[in-house]
Amino acid sequence: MKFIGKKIICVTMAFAMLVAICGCKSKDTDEEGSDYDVEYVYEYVSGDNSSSSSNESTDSTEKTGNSSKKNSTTTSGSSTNSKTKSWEEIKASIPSKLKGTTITFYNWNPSNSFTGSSKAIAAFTKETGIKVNWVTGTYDDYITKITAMVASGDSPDIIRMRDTNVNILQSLQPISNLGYDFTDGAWNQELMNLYKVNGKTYGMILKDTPYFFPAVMYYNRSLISRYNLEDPYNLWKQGKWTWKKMASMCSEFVSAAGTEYEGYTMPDGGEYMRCMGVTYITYDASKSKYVSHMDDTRIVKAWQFVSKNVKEGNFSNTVYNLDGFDNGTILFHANSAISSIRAHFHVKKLISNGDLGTVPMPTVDGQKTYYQELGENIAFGVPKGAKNKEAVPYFLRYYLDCANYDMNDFYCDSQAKEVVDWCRNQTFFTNMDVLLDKSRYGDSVHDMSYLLRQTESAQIKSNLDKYTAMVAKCVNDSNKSLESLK
Amino acid sequence: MKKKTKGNLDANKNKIGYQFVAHWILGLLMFFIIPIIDSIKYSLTNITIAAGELKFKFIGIENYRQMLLSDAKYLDNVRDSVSTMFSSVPIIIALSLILAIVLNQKFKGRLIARSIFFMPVIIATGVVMVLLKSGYLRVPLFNVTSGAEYEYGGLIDFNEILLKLNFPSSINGLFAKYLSNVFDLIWSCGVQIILFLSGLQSISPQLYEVSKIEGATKWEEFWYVTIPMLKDVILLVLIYTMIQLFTSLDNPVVAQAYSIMKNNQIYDLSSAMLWGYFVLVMAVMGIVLLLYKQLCLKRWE
Amino acid sequence: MKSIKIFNSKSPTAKKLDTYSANKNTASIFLSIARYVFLFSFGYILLYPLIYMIVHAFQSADDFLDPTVQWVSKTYTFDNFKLAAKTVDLYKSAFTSIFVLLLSGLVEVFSCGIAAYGLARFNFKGKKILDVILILNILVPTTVIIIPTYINFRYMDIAGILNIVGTILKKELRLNLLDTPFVFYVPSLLAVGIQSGFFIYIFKQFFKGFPKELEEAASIDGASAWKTFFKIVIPSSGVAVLTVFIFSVIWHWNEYYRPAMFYSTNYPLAVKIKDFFTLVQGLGYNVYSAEAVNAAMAASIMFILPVLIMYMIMQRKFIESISQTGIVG
Repeated sequence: MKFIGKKIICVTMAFAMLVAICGCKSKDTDEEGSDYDVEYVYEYVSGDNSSSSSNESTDSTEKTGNSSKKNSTTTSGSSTNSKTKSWEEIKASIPSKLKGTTITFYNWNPSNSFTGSSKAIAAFTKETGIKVNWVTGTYDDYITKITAMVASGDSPDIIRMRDTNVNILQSLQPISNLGYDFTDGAWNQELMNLYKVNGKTYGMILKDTPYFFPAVMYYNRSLISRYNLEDPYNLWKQGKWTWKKMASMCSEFVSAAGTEYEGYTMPDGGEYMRCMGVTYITYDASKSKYVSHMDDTRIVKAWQFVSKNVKEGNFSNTVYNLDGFDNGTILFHANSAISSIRAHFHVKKLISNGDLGTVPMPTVDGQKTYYQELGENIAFGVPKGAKNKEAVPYFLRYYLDCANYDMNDFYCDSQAKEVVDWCRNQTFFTNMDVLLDKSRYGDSVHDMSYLLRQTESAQIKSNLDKYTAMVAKCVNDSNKSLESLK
Repeated sequence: MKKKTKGNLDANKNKIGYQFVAHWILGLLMFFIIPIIDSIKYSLTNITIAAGELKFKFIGIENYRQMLLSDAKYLDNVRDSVSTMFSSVPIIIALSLILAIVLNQKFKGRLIARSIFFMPVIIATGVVMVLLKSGYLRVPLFNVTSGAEYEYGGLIDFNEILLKLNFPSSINGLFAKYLSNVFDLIWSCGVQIILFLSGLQSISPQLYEVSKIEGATKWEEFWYVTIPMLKDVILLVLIYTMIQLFTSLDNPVVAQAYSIMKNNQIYDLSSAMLWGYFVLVMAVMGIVLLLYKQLCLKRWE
Repeated sequence: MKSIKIFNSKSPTAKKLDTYSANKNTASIFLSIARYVFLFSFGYILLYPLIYMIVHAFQSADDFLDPTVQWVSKTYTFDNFKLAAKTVDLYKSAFTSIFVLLLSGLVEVFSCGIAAYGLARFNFKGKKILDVILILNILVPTTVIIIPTYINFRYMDIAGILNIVGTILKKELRLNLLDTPFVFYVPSLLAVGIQSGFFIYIFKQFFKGFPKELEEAASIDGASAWKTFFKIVIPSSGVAVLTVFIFSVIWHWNEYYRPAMFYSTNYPLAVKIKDFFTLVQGLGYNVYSAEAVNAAMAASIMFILPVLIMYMIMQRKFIESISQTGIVG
C-alpha cells in the first residue's frame, strides 16, 4: 500500500514535469498594470529651448469624454479676457514677505528632462525673487511619499495631481487656504470646479496652458491621399466629422487597401462612450459624489458600435498599435495630443514626413455637444502643512502660462495646434474609471474593454451587467473615503 | 547546549551573550518593534492625514470586521492564496528536488547548468522581473493582460489544445488556471534547488555504497536513503517556500492590501488586512509543520 | 562501465554479466540523453527571458518593428545602451548602489554574524523571546510598516531623550535620517537591515553546528568569548560568510522599495530600473515603442550583469558552502 502511494506521487511529479516543460501561460495579476493605467505627466528633452512643457502621455484609457450634465459645469468656458489680470498686475500684487522664499515642487521626473521648464522657472525667480526647489520622486511611490511627507511634517508646496480622485485629495488642502483670488479670468474655473469636494476646491488649472493634452484623432495623410479618401480636417470644418463617417471611411480603406492594412487602432474602445459624455464612473462635483453609470443605455450603445466595427474588420482588435500606425499600415489612431509634440518620438516617422494629421475626436451622430474627458495630471494641488503655500498661486500663474513658453514650434504642425486650441473651449467631464483597481476589485477597465470589444451586440448588455456590482462597490468605497474630507 | 549550571561561572558566561546581541536588540527596538506596534495600532484605528501628524481614532476591530464581512474580495483572495499554496508547494518541492538530483550528477557542463538554474534568484527577486512583466514588452511566457494587451500563449498554448480536444469549458477553465501557474512555479524554484543541491551533497556517499551492497534498487535508494537524509532540508525548503508564496506580490491578498495602501492611501484597512493574513499564515504554517513532523519525520527516523 | 571479465566468456554467468554491463551502457546513454533533454527544457524556460533581453538589447529599432526579424537581428547597435544609460543616470545610480547599498550589505554580514553567535552559543534570559522576534523579523515584509518606519527615520530618537530635551529647549533635536546614507548604514550596523533576519538565521544554524571543542579549548586557554569569536570561529566560518555575502549582495543590489521611500536624493540603480518606463517617457519616447523596449532590455542587462558575473565566479564555492553551513546538514 505504501508503495502504491509512492508510485502515485511519482506519477504526479512526472506529470508536473511534463506540464512544466510546456511552460504554459502564466497568469499574473500585474500589479504594475494599474500604475500604467493612468496618464502621467512628463516632459521631453529637446535640444532647443523652444518649449518647455510637461506632456501628458496617455495610455489606452485616454479618450475624449463628455461633461456630465449633472455637473455644475455646463457649457465650455471661453477664454474671456475681460477679467484677466496681466502678469504685471499679478507681479505687483505679490506680498513682499514672499520675496526670497522657496517653493518646493514635488515631481516624479527630474528637472533635467523638462527642458524649457527650467527656463520658465528661472525667469520666474528673476522676476519675483521667489526660488523654486524641484524635488524628484518616483512615479510608483509618488502618492505614498506625499502621505509620508505630510504626516511627518515635511510637506512639499506643490504636487501634481497624479490621481484626480480621493486617493490624493486626502493629503491636500483647499485652495481657499492660499489667500489668492482665483476669480482672475486666467484660471479655468470650470475645470477647477470639477476638483471640488464638499464645496472646497483642491486643484488649480490655468486656461491657456501648454500642459493640456486632449484626446484627438490622428490620421495618416499619405494613406488618405493614396486611396482618395476625404480629408478628415475638411470634414471637421464642415461639421461632418462623425463616428459613422469615420467607420465608413475605415471600411472603405480596408477594402481598397487590402488585408495588411487596418482601419483604426483604438486606445481601448471606450472612447466612443466618452464622446457621448458618459463612462463607468464619473464624479459629480455638485454632490461631491462618485457616480456609477453602469445602467446608462448609452454605454451599451457605444460598445455595440465598437464591437460591430471590430467584427466587421473596420476597427482593429489590436489596441494601441502605435508602431503599426507609425509604420503606415493603419489609417486612424486616437491618442492624446501629446503624440503630436514635435520633439517626441511617438509617431516620429509620420511627423517627420508631415503625414500626421490631427483632428478632434469624431462626434456622435445626432449629438451637438463635443464632450471630452478631463485628463489626470492636469491640475496642481497644495498638500496640507505646506510651508510656503501663499507663494504657490503666483508661481503657477507664471509657470503654467503659455505666454512664457514658445508655442510656435511646439506641435508638429499648425493643424495640431488649431485642434488643441479648439478643444480648450469644449465641454469637459471627469473620468474616474481609474478607481477600478484590479487588485482590489477583481477586474480593471482593461479587462472590461477586452471583453466588450469582442462581444456580440446582443450580449453586450449582459456582459456589462457582470461588472455592475463591482463598479457599485468601488463607487461606495470611494464615496466613503470622500467623507473624510469634510 | 544544555549544560548543568555550575554556579556562577556559567551564568556569567551566558550573560556575555548579551554583549553579542546588544546591538541587535537596540536595532530591533529602534527600527522594528516600534513600527510593528504602530502598524498594529493603525489596524485598530481610523486614520486621517493631517499636517505633520496622523490623526488616530480608535475603532477597535471595525477594520477587521469590514475586511471580513463587507469587503468584496478579501475572503476570495484568502481562499485563493491558501489553495494556491496547497497546490503549489508540493510541486515546487518535488520539482526542485528532482532538478537538484539531476544537477547533482556528474555530467559535462553541470557547472553551467547550475548557474542557469540559479538564474531565477538573480533575476526574479529583482526589479528586472517587473520590467519583463510590465506589458510593454512582447515576451511570451509572461502573460500580461494590461497595457497593450498583447496576450501570448506560452511555448505551447494549453488553452488552444484543450479547446481543440473539445473538453467542456469548466474543465478547460480549471486546467488553464492550474497550468497558468506552472511557469511561475518554475521561476520560483531557484533558492530551493540550491538548498536541495547542498543537502544532497552533504549526504555521505558511504550510505549509497552500503545500500548498493544491500541490493537496493535506485527507486528504493531514493525513498529509503536520500529522502530521510534530507528531512531537515525538506523542512527548510517547506518553510522557505511557504514564506515566499505568502509574501510575494503575486499573492492576491498581498496585492489587494498593497493596492489599498499604495493607490488609495488607506493605511488602517490595509494594515488590518495584512495582520489578519499574517495570523492566518502563521496558523497554516504551524499546521503544515506539525503535520510534517508527525507524518514524515516519524516515518523516516 | 567496463565489464570485468572474470569468467570464461561462454559461461552463463559471464553472459549475464555481459548483458548486464551492456544494458548498463545503453541505460547510461539513455539516462544522459534523458538528463540533457530534461535540463534543456527547463533551462529553456529559465533562459528564455535572458535570451530575449540580450537579443533586444543589441537590436535596432527597425529590426524590432520588422515582422520578419524574430531572433536574429539584421543590424546591431549600442544605441539602446546609450539610451538606457541616459535614462537611468547610470553613473550616479551605480554610485548609490555600490557605496550606499552594497556597503551596508557588507556591514550587515558582520553585524548579523555577531548577533547570531550570541543567539547560538549563549542561553541568557530572554533569549527565547529573541528567537521568536527573529522569526517575526523574517516574516514581516517592509511594506506593512513603511509609514511608521518613515516617521521613525524622520524623528530618530534615542530612548526618547532627544524629544524631552528638545521640548525643553524648544528646538527640534531629533535626528532626521531621511535622505542620508545613514538610513541604510545604521540599521545594517544594528543587524536590522534588509533581510537581516534571514542572515542571522543562517549564521545561527551554522554556529550551532560548529564543533564546541575548539571554543572550549580557547576558553580554557583563557581567551574571552569575544577573542574566541574573532580568532577561532570567524576564520573557520568562511563558508557561512560567503553564503550570506552572496545573498546580501543580490538583495541589496535589487532593493528598490526602501531607497525609493527613504533615500530620494540619489536613487540607486534598482529604483531607476523599476521606474524605467516612466523615465524613458520623460525623454519623449512612447512606452510601447521599439526604442523604449530595447532600451529597457539593455538596462536590464546592465543591471544584472555584475551580479551574474559575481555569481559565476563564486558559484562552485557557493554551492559547496551552503552544504557546510549546517542549515541543510
